[in-house]
Amino acid sequence: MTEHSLKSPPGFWAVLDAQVRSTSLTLRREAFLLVFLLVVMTVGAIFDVMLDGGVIVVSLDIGLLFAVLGLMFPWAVWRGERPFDVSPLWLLPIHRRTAALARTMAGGLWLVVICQSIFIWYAGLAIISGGGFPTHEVRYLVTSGGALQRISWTPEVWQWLTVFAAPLVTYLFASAALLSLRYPIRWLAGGLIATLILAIVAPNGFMESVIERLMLGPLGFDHVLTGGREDIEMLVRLPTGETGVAWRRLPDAERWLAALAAWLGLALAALVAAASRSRRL
Amino acid sequence: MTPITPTAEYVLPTGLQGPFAVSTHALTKRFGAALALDAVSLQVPEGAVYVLAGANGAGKTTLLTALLDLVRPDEGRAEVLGLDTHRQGAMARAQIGYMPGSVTAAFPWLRIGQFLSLLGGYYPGWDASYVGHLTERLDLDLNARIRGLSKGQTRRFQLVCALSHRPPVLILDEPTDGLDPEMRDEALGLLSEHLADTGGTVLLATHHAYEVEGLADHVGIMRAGRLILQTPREVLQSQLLIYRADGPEGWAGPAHLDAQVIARARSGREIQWTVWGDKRTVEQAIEASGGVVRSATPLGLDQAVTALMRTKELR
Repeated sequence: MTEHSLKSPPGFWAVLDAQVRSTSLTLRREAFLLVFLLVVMTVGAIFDVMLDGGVIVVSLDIGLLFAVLGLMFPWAVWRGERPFDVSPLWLLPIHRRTAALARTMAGGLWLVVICQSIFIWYAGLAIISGGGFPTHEVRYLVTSGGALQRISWTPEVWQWLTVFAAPLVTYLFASAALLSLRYPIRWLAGGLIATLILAIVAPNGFMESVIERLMLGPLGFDHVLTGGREDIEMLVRLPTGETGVAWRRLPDAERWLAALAAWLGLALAALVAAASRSRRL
Repeated sequence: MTPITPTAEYVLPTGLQGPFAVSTHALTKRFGAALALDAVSLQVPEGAVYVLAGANGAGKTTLLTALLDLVRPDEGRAEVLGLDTHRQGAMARAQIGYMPGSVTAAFPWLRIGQFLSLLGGYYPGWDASYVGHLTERLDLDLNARIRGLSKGQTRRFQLVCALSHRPPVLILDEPTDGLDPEMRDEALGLLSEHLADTGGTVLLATHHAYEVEGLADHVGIMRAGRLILQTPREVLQSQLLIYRADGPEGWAGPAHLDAQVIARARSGREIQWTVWGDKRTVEQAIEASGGVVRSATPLGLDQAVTALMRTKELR
């Protein structure tokens, strides 16, 4: 048979298109479950608003929920595939790294759609209840001189973007783990044991310092998850005499972007490395 | 009875005439201490229907999955239509229609039609009407959920998946396993049509050679990871014969044969040998020892495969 009569493998966009369709069918069960949960929560919220007269205000904390969703989502996306066995995906006429990346991309696309849908539902519910988006929060800011200053703060547009960026980063890390670790539970258990041993044998405060650097440093993961809210918050004695939360500084879009670029780059590198892993037995 | 030994080291043929649609070159694979493939040099000529026979655990499935680049060989390499199955894996798999040996179908929550539609996305030039024809012939309901399929239906569905993009090379692992006789004939009929349409090549692994006897034109036999024989079927039929001979009282047959004795049995004064070798040479040796050859009969494909698979002496 000559080279000309050989059948061609599909192009990348055809693969991505097929993966988007395939993933949508795979995620159908989760989609039904989500719709059911949203309906139940809507009914609950309506009763709450009608009976107690409360209002719902959209909170940036929903980003944390989305981040957890992103962490678990790869296991739903890869249901039916066996990354370390004779998986249907590895039988297709596609380079295996391309196949793994296309499936991850397709899953990521659906994750964004799901997060957006939940957010729209949440915002809609808040608006209907008379709450809506937060405006003019009163905050305390610790000035350079150490004094407390009352400020009025409205979350900026970039802070709402963190809600959608966080799940993407956790999703990419979790996808990399799923594609690179044959026995993820063993690795998790091993990691926990190693951490425990380190916590016992390492000098006092070592683990706390490592975790603090990872989470709250200039490029800490907290910037990705919450836009750096944890990093800027500190406990102070308020003018009323009570202990409360004040901000060290105002939330900073540049810090968020820098941390996001760093963690996203790390997640993508981990994903490409994991997708490049040989699938041969 | 005096054992007959070959007069010379007699080796069964393992080389074929090219060009080859599928070939492996001294492919070796170990799983821990177990040698799954022992320097296997498979040669499937273009346009052939090659039946790869062997007992369970002989290495057939490992060999087939190696062609899909799902096995990392310790030594050797594999080619499909001249494409290296590892370096040009995606291109090589585009030429292959594969039916796995396992009855477990992927994505049980999908309907057959949905699965086939998704599969079509990976094959440029996908012909939906041909797929419709295949499902109709094999009596598959496109709206049926994969999880609800019986073993036979699953095998038919897997065969449709393998044939659906009209691949030039079909690799089928136990394709008739689980099919009732009617569906087996229908499936084999479809295979014949596919061959007539595409002029393609079929590599088919089975331990039920009689089920594919009508299609096979080349035969390979594996045992303990080794390919002990591969040959055109007509050579198998002309070289592997059952000789029935009798002789005077106490006659034990020739002490030596310039051929490979596969099996031997005695019934009264008649001795029966299953021998691989030149017919004239064997008959002359028997007659020279004082015996009279009553018949020399070729074996059916299944008998031949079974006889060769059982022979421990073959190396």
